[in-house]
Amino acid sequence: MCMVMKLYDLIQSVINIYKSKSVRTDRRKSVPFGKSLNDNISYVKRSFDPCADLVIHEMKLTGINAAVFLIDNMINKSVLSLGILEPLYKFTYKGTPEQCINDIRSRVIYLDDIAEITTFDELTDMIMSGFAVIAVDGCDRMIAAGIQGFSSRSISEPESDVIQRGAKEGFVEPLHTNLSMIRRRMKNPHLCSEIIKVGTLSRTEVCICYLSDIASPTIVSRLKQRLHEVTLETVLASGYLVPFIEDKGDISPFCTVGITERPDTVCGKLTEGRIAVLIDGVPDALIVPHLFAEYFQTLDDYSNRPYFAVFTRWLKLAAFFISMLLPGIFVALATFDPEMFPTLMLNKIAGSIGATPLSLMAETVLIQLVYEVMRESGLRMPQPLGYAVSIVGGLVIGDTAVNAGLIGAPTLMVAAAAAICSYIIPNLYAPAAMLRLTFTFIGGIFGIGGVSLLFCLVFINLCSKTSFGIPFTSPITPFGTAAARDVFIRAGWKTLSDKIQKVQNMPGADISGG
Amino acid sequence: MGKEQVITSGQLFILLFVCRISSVLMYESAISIGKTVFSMLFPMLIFSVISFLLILPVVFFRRETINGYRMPLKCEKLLYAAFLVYFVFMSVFHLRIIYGFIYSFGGESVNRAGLMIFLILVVLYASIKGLESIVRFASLSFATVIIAAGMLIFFLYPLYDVESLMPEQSFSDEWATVFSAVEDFAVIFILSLTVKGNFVRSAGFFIIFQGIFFVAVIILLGGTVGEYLIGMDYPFFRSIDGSEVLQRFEPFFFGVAISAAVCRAAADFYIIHRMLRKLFSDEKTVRRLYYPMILIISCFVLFFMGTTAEIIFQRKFVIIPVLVAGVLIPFILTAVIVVKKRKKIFRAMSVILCILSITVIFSGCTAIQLNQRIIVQGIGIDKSENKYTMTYIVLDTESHDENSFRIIHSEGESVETAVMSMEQQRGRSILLTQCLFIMMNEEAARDKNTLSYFRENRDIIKTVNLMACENARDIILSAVNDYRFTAEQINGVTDSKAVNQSAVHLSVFDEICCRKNGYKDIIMPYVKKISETESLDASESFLLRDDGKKFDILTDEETQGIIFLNGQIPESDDLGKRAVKCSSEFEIDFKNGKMYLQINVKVVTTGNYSVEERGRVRESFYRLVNSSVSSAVIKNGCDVISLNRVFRSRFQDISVTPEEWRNILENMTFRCSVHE
Repeated sequence: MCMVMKLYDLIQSVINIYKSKSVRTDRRKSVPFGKSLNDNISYVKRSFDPCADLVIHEMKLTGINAAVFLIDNMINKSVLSLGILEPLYKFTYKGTPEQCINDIRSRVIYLDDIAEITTFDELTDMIMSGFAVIAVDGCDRMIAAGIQGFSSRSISEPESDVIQRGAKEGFVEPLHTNLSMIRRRMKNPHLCSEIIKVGTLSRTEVCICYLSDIASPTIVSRLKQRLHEVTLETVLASGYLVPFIEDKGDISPFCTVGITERPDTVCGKLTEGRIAVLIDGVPDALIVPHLFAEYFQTLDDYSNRPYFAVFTRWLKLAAFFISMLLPGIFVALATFDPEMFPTLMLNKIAGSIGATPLSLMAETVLIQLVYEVMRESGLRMPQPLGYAVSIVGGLVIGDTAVNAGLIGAPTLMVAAAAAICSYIIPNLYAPAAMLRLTFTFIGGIFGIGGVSLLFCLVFINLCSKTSFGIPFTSPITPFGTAAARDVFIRAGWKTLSDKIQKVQNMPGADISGG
Repeated sequence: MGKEQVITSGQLFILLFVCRISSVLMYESAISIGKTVFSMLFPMLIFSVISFLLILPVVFFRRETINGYRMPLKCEKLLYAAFLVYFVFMSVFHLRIIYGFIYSFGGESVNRAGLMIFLILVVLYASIKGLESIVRFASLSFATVIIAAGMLIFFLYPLYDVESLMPEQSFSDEWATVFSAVEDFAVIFILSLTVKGNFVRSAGFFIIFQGIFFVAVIILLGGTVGEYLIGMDYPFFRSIDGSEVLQRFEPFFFGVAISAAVCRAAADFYIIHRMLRKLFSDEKTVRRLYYPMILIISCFVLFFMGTTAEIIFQRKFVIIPVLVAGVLIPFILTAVIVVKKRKKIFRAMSVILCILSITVIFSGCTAIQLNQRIIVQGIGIDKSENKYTMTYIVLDTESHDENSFRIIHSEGESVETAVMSMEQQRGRSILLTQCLFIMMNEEAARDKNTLSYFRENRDIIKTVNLMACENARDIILSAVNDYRFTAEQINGVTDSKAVNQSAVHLSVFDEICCRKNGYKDIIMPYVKKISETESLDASESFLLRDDGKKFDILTDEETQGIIFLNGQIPESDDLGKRAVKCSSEFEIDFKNGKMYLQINVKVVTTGNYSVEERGRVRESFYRLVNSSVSSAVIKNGCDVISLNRVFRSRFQDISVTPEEWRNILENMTFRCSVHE
């Protein structure tokens, strides 16, 4: 009885870890500035104590005390000297402190990115974002000037979204750089960008971009509401926000939020009424709404000729199903329905099963797990050692294990084929890998009937999902002929450009607008 | 399932079509007999008319309800209660059919009860997800049904023969099909208010498309595998036995049937939930009633259909305590504890008991690994004095040589006991899916029961070739050991492109059709050893009357004649190389109980042939036809040239029994004329 109670408590405690906790309130309150410069300086010192990189540059200007707050290594020092300090020292101030602040803003500082702030909360956000904040004694307003100079990665080719014909630029960490890349490609005054701060501790800037004349206002407002309801403390990767942005639903291996590293992809999606979410410090953009068919579309499809684009699309679709189903179907057929194999192949399979110690299902699962371990090792290891992992994997696992009779060659081939096919769509790797293992289990236990039922379950789950009110499987089902011209085939540009299908007009969507 | 879901009328009718396909594929209906082509198609026409009539009240109900008319409250609740009871029974009925289908085709070593439980869980999940998910999934299922239908047409069409579409066959249960289709209209009635779009137009398209689809299927199957399906359960599913390729894709067709079945059952479960919501407004009450109801339905189906009841009723006492302890007690305890007690400890116990009971259900039949099976490529059957000697060519999976094989033997009082004795001696289970041929000695070939084991065995591909010989063991041993033949080469003696027109063919499929037809007789290749050339020869044939009273071995000339009269150009020095086109036409007359047969052979030769050569060609054909008809048809009373089909198409109002027909053949007057 006691053991059962302890087991129950253990299970409860594990479950409680994943329950949402109460939202932690921000420790910093929106405290307004005082008029006394010394009081303001003391407050900032106390709030940031200890902070080695906080710089408070106190100055005596003409008849008035002032201070500049900044974070060292986040600002451009030459701009600070030439654009802020030198003009401040050179100017002669007359009038009240209020007039002094107005003069500094309009006549003294030679910078374009200037804002007026009134609370310590804003001061913290500004100096953490590479602004220098100028305070004047006797005034309860401060001027924030943007002089960012923190080091960041230069624009390079994206690692995961690789295409043959197209720009070799990918997103980088700074939000405003990413925004500029989109802006450069979409010279449209209707391109809106709204910044929302997310994360109770990190206050990360998140920017939503959309074309106001195309995107649905309903989707935009839903997205904003969901971002405001994010209860995270920090946002360090795009995946943090995905569960909060997705439509509420049950567990599914598939994600209804798209991720891309390419600004050109983002621009293409914006023209279809989708919305991009850029996160400061993350070189990805989230795209909503995102549909299942989009996993099989790349920018190369639109650069190549339609016949080749159709061929590659169907190839990707086939590869996805092969990567998900092949091991499961192989195990199911070899165990319960061997009549589908040609005699020669059946002979080899039977021989390899007889020569190895494990059952076919166990062998297939084991090979897949070993492969996942190798893949994960290859990702985490430093690059020089990563080559060694590849050699170990290829030679030792691939060759020696088969010769030693630990695993069978047909099983290894099947697992390798499934793994290779899963690389064709990197964004679907995770669901394909997990479903592959599940299908293998079910195929080994229930045969082709079990594989069919699990396939039905996966597709029912897909069919039940929505992305901001749009069926995830649209326009495959519900089927729409106009939309399907860019799903099963890639119609020519003259046809596609006639009427671009907006995402909110997809068959089965329950939103309108745009 | 919160707010009311809205689907398009097209989606609703696709769902209904897929549900209908599911019922058809899993319907255990045997073929019944109609009299004319019209009687075969008449039910479909009536179905279409009735469908239109049934749609009308649905349209009125929909229009009135949409416009605000409401039935008096009590009547509405009564209607929903009636539908609830109806669909509870229909869900039990459909689940029973699905379980029967899984039991027949799911594979012997598969845990069928576990598979059924998995199916119920998937269906329950689908019903929880709502109508939109079900109809979207049905659209995908519809696509797989169309692919399956396309494969059926592509691979069966080459076998199509208009004359096979005899008016005396029908493949539905005629009126039963009509009445079972009526249940779909209960679904339409309930779901009509959830649809948007042009309801009447979609309904019209549905009725017309369904009618055309099923008529086309009937015509296709009737002209290809119709005879085979007579008296067989699951006729529509078994139609794939007509093609070697389709048989090898049976798992795919099984998967299509399962996905259609999921749609069917999910629709039933969803409607049950919907009716509960109409009767009880409180969502909690609905949930508390729905899940136990589904559990009871599932247990009812599984208990009475599964092996549990069979074992209990057969009084196998050893198994009963295990099953009761592992399955029934945990389920009952769980239900009692969860309902009555609220304490944490009892909830924990109930979870653990559920896990244990699921483990018992999912354990059970274990799969047989491929290395534990004997993969048979060819079988020889010798019968002598009520003893069967079986000779098997099996793949040697332990050898490292490619495609190496060996010969094993077994004996028994019947084929089945011989096979069982072989399995027991070797400690492995036989696998017949790769078998290419079955060779029988004369005595075995004459016995109808020899092939009964293979007719009923789902493992064996029905296009396996049948051969006759003097001694199967001797021929197989000589071919393999002395002549170094493989199983493919032995099979190729009768079934390869090289010998396509010089040997007759008979497969298990053809043999079953002949037996069911009653008027056709069996002719199979007769294999002989040729020691001088170390080869096998199958130019002769073995003739067997369906009633077993007469049999004969036809010479190669007589065999060639039979091949020619069945529509192929025979190969020989005189004929095959010279004659480009030749055809035969039968003219039958029947007077005073005597049949008069005139065979007109038309020959067209190419090239510059002299008069003498042309005369020789004509004489060859004359000799061929005369010898084959005299020997096979008249002497033995065997109809191996489809004379009965011609007779019935000419004299539809004359009915003869198979015995009378054979007498007619033996007393027939025959004439042959050959002209250019």
